[in-house]
Amino acid sequence: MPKTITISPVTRIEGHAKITIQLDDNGDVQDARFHVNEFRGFEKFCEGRLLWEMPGITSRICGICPASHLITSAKAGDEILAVSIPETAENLRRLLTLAQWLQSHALSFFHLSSPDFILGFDSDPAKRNVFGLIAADKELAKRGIRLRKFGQEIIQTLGGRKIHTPWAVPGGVQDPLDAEKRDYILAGLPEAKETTVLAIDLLKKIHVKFAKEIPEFGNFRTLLVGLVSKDGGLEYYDGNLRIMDGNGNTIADQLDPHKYYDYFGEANEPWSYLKFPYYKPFDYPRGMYRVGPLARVNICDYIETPLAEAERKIFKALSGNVGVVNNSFFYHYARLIEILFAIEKIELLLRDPMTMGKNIRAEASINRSEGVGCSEAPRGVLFHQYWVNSDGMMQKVNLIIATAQNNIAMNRTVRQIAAHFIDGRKGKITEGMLNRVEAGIRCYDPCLSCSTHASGHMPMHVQIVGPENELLDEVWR
Amino acid sequence: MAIGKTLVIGYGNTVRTDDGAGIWIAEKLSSFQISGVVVTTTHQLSLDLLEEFKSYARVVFIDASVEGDPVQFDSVGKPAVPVPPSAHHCTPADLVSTYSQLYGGSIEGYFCTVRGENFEFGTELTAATVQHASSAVEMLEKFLWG
Repeated sequence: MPKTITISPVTRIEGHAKITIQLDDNGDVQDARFHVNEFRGFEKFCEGRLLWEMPGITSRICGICPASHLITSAKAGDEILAVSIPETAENLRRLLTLAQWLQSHALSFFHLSSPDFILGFDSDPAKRNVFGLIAADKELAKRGIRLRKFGQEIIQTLGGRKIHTPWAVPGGVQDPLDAEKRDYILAGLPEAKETTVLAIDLLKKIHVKFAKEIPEFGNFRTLLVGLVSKDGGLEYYDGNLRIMDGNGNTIADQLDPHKYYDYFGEANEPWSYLKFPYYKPFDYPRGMYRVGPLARVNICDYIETPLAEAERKIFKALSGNVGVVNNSFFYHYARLIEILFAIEKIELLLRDPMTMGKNIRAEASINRSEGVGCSEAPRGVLFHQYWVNSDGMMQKVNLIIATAQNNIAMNRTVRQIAAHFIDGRKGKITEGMLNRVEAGIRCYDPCLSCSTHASGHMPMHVQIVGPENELLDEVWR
Repeated sequence: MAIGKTLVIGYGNTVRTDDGAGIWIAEKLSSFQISGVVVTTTHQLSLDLLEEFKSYARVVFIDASVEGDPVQFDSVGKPAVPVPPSAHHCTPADLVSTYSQLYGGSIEGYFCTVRGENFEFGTELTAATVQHASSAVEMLEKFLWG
């Protein structure tokens, strides 16, 4: 009799989701799906609001990556005002974007994913979290907490608060950076760099420790999409789109991100609130692509800072002859490389005299009826598109969130891991097997809008359901 | 015995009406400039705060609650659930307990809650919650002056 296993909620991700695994009569995995069961409706309720409110409103989409929405929204606003923002303002926005990468990536690695690596996929789920990590390796835990805190402090130093700062605005930013604040950030960089280098060394040992399992963690060819600079370097704030296939061939390059709708479509499935973006020329679902650290570090020709560039070369060597690292497990490695880049680049920006300028905002009224903002959020390329009337009132809003762009690949990852690790014929499906399925999702660090908080205990709930929806078995953890 | 420095943390969501009561109270207490007391506010409790604890002998958490007495004040006990569910959302008990585990020292923890009436969208406290919060400010001011 076919059975369905439900993992709900998926733990240690940002937001709320569930996974269902359908077994066939033989106990083999027939299908597996990653369902996102929260609905926000931001695109709809932004209608009628003023353009100048949009950075502040859309930053509320998320408690983890508000700065990315803030920056992307402000950039869409720049387009509608038809202004070129002052160089100082761009440097400051770049700083904020990098601080966002730093804190979000640190949270993903140290708080959410490293417990699996340090304590083991099969360890006691009650201890397999950051608090278990504290018990197992206090120094690593302290460093991880401090690294994330440092990223948050940079955001606070620039924008006045750690979460939901309204600091970036259409035309620039609200406040300049003074020397005291600059020096405060500079003072924290050496320890942040040291911690990241230690984490990369640790992760390389983890690659060896889990060498037999890693090949099953979302290892397949997809398109990879991200921003690159004009000469192909890693980009995070501006630049153009590059699309690479799973064999390392660049199939499109220097695409104008303002025309994203020409390249990407959005499909819907009745079992998830998360849309399924795809690359239009390949149709849905063959147009599956991945964004975020794995894509960015794969597609760029170089990284402009020395330590990160050295790691990028080691990362690329993992691809062997293929030319692309296709395994989603290496999102973690790419994430740490990006932290290293962020730290190095923050220092370069802080030492640039232009960053300390006082000309931080271009003033203008509504000059266009439509605008697109694009930047690289921690989880991948993010688009905001707004249509306004002559008063700047929102007529329509479209947001293409990074996590959604990984949706097809996340579903395929779940299927691959489930098919490898879950064998219903053996009678007992262990918690460790299910945790591996969840860990596959955690590679992507999906952000399902964590500003929708759950209160109280969030247990892992596994249900085995028969074809008539009858509950056959149930486990809580 | 002299009381060491105290960290006061008011937390909540200021665009969810009475959920902002903890921050409202913290801001009132901050204006009193009580010697040896540092007041901070945050959206929610997270592990990042543990680093701050190192400089203090005690910490006072202030939050809104959906039930209970209008104002409650007690010492922080052990976590009700041994392992918190989320790495970026903690309870006062989680933080106090984890601090001891991580840094080896101990810190006195206190938790003040004020019952809210309305948690829908809005930036002002309801009249009833202003009354409860004002009582909490009065009580906490006395406590902090020692």
